[in-house]
Amino acid sequence: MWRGCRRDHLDFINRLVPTVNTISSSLLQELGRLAVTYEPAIVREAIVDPFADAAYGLCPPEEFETAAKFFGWLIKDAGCIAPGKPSNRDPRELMMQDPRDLMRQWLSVTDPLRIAEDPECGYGPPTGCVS
Amino acid sequence: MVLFLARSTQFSEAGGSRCPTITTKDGTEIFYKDWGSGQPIVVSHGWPLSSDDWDTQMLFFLNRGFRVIAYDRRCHGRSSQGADGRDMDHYADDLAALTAHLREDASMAREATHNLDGPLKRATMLTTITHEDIRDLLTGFAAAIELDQIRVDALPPEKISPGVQRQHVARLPARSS
Repeated sequence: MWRGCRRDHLDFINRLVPTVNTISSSLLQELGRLAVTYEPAIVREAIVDPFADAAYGLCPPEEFETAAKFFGWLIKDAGCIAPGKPSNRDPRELMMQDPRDLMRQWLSVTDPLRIAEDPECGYGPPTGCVS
Repeated sequence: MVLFLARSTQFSEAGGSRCPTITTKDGTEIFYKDWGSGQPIVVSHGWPLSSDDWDTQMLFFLNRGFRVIAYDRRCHGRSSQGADGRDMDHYADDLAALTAHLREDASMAREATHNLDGPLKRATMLTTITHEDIRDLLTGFAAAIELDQIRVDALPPEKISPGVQRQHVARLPARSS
């Protein structure tokens, strides 16, 4: 099951990658703002479920068929998840950080699909787990 | 500590009242107005004006519950005068320094511009990412998933719970003898 889960996610990502250029410059700017405005953990929380829904085909294919649609949804959803003050960190500190570095923290390096957190999964996260 | 001091707010005497300024890293003093509270709006004037040219609009938004911020570009109005730094890069850096100094909630800032594309565009670029960055993000995610699968495949059977182990074993390729 988990192997299939990973394969489905990889298939979905492989479908998204060729469509990255569909992302408009304004959406790129919004993503940059998202990166410097929200704690990466909040975005990480927001990004996992739609990835799974899209990978498993649980949502209409046209909903997330391009990177523009997927990340456009992310912009809206992150705002819904954490309205108001979005970050606990000093905003000046966040503003001084490179948004690219913050964006890389949106996804966990280890156990990226959080499979090890599933109670049905017995092997747990790897030692020295990094997120 | 040095950085904090360089960005700290001072007050200058302007028109008989105390007005805040920041000092940028190159020592330029930037005068600004910060009125009200609430959702902030940052406005930026063009050549050869000053923040005063925004007063009417600032009062309009102030009376509607916004926090409005305007500043004098370097070599303009009450900011430091000089021959150096009269270019868009410096203007943009000054605006970035000011917004970084003032911004308490980055997501809520709204920006307006007045005949001044350069600094705002540059300030926005500070938080802009590229298609290549998104591509890197996605491919990095894919690589992490593949590595995770390799890690799990390498786990000894006793590390895998019985249910998962059955699936794990069932999916292993049959060995040829």
